[in-house]
Amino acid sequence: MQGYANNAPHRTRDLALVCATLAIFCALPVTAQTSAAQTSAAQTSAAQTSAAQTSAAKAPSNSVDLSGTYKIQFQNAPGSRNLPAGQGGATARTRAYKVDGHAPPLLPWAQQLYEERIAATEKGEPFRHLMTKCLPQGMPLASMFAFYPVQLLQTAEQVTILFEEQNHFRIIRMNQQHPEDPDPSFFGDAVGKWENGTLVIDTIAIRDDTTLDFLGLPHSPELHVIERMRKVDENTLESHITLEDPKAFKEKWDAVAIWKRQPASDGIREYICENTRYFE
Amino acid sequence: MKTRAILNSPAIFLFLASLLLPVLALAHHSFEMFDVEKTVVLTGTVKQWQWTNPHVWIQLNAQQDGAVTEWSLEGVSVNQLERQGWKRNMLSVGDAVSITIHPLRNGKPGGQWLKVTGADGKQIGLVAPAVPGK
Repeated sequence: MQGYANNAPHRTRDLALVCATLAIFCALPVTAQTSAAQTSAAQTSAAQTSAAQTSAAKAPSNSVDLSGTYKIQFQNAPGSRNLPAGQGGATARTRAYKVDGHAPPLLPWAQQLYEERIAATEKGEPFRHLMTKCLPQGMPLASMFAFYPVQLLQTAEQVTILFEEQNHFRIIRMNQQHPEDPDPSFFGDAVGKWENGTLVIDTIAIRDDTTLDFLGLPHSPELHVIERMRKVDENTLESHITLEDPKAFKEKWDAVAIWKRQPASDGIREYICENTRYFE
Repeated sequence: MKTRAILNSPAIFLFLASLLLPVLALAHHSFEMFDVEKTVVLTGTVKQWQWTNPHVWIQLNAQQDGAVTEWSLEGVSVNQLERQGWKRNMLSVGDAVSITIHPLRNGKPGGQWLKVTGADGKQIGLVAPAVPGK
């Protein structure tokens, strides 16, 4: 520790030197370009700046500061009210979620798979959802529920959601398009925009091994999630979530999640999922 | 009215809230392997203390009917326990403890641990659950 303390001024100086060197290095290729290229680049840059200014003038920012640390609570989720209280199924479903709602209307294959997974759980062989294997819960669950705090950070270009649980993150690229054929991923490809103070997040390309709940409610690779997040008051965000999946749901399904601000003293912490022990 | 008065008592509220904690904390796991209708108290010594996420585990050499049986006991996460007042060094290998658990449904020596009491009879890591707005 002593060594670190003694080295601190040197390290700061060294860092400054490295930064300065990098800056010069990065500038070199530009100065080495031909004057024709320079002219072209300058013209392009000027055009872009002009377009950006015009665009900014036409669409003044209507963003709202949503940043902060929250917990995400379900208001409407697939769940237990379908079964009478006291039965095994109701117990299993209730424990898997904070439940106050109904399941999305599933197509037969999805309904059958879901019922099989619930039946296995009720038999004492719980469905091994991704988090039981130290893998991310991914979307759409990440938009619906967070027992541990999450932190939302925002800039004009990007909204970032940091999750304490398993130390995951979601990146929402603002005012961008989805790529042509994105690779499926746990959290999908998310783009966002502001609509009259509401943050609208559009997510596609979600891996089909993620689920809508911890009992294994399935979806297809065509799942499309739209979140509309608005500030209710200084301590509350409301997120209306619409899930469309023509290959798994009979119709689109809506859920609501409430984000409750956490005390500043209880921010997100390190949480590395390292122990995969599990009762079989 | 009497019931309402009791429920309005902060102490009772904290107690009831504390009962919910294990359920909430393990919310992302199914509980179906544990028999939550059954609560058992095991007494023995700590053989292993795994202070790990997503869940901490205690291997307990429990004395039962004159014999020693090793139990595998799954708890909540480090992050959750820390928020309840636990620290990694509150339990050590060799400690004599009593542990309240929900046992496995399948009858194997395992379960979900709920509460640890030290040799002095005091509950370890007990703090009042977080109260909204506090």
